[in-house]
Amino acid sequence: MKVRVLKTGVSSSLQDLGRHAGLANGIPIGGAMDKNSVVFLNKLLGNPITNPCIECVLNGGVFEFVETLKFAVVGTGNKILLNNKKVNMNTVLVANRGDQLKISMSSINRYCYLGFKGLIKAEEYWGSYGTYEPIGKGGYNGRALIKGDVLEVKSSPEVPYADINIRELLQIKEARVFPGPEINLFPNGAFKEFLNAQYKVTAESNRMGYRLVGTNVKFTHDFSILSTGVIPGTIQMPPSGDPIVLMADSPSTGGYPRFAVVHSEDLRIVANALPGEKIKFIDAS
Amino acid sequence: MVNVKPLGNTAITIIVGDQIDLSTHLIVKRLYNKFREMGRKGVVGVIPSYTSLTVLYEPKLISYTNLSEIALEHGGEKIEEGVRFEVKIPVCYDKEFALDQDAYMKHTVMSWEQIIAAHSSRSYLVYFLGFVPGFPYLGGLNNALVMPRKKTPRLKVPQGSIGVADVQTGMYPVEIPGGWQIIGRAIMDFDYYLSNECVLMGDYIKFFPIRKSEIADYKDYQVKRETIES
Repeated sequence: MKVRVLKTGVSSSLQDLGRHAGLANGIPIGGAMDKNSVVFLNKLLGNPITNPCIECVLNGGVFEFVETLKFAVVGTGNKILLNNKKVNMNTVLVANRGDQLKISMSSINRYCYLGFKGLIKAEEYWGSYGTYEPIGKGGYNGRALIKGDVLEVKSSPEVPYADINIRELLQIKEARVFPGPEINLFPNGAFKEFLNAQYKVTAESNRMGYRLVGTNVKFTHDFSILSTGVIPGTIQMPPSGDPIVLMADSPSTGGYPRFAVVHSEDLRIVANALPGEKIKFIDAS
Repeated sequence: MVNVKPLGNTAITIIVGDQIDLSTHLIVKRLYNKFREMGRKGVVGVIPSYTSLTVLYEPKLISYTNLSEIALEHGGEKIEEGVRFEVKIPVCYDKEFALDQDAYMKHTVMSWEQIIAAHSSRSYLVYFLGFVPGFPYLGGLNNALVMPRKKTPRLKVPQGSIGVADVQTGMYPVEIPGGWQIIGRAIMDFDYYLSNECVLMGDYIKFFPIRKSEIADYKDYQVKRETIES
């Protein structure tokens, strides 16, 4: 089965649940920015949860189905058109040969996911089909999709799921955080002050990390630490005092103090925040 | 000294020292091997660094308490260094690639020839790989070559750049923003380097200087790990 890319959105790339085997070689985890959505999507389609799908930033572009295929779009607030007729997100649909699917902009979430019943043919890199653009590996030729690309979808084992629950994807713009290993380098009460602050996601945010700015709060400092392990969700505090939340393509190590860490289930909330949007952190411990 | 701290709800950082040295490295490596062996029992990934090991885990399969017990039990043990592997990497130290040549000469008060000789005469221990794919964090830099990183990072450090930051030296295998002082460029087949496990934690890297006129001869150079006779 084949699907042709007729038009791309801001950026669309093949992603999955990422890779962990290469961390000691400096290979980032990568994969989807909102992995909960990918799991949900694959469950809807009855795919193994590790199957790749198309991660779309803001809007998804236009796709043409060369053959009949089941698909679903998981996300919040996008307008989805199949042959110019509005269809629902977060449910399995069938497209016939020649059908065109248009995924428009969301004003609520940064990411949405288009998945097909079956396995999209993709390059594997360190055990993941996810696209890692900085070195051009994985996914579709190691790059984001462009107009004219043709994706091949092979059949993959049918997996029955009992626990498909959309409620886990509902949005609250609050993310739980734990104090990080280097919190003690900061003055007493710094974590509390962080929780009380209002933070805004800046335009300087990409698959590696999101830079935040706080209203009336900065944890300026002048100490450095020896480079140490970091994971997606780690909130680093550079000397400037404005935090960086590390995301899917986070480096495996970093030299800024690890001020806090976002709860693994809530990282998708930060990932989906739009530039300029406010985000609130609450105590996870 | 073993200090265990949570890194959120899915990772744990085990701190076993506070400075860059071989004995700390050998403890980190011992723990690294220990947790790698546990791959199927809830350990998802392992990230070594100079003085700590970060272990990513699946909380449904293994608990923080369980992991810290293992860490405390094995955190004091170091392993023998064993067989040493060395990787030789050709480097062109020409001004064209040594982007920080002037500042570096001024800071070290050495001639460029002395700097090349000092930097390429040692075999550096790969304490770990991190930051970006294949970036080796190397220790054992000659004291005379120590220089702090740049105040403002470069927006683009070219692929292959050889850098110095404080007591560390290293190589940028991909173009990326970075703040290290750049003193040369490795010339080799980087696609091969990034597609294979060419350098591992605990290996040694030896840089050997090549002339600008020799660059064409080394474009397809594929690095390999060789045992060091001791």
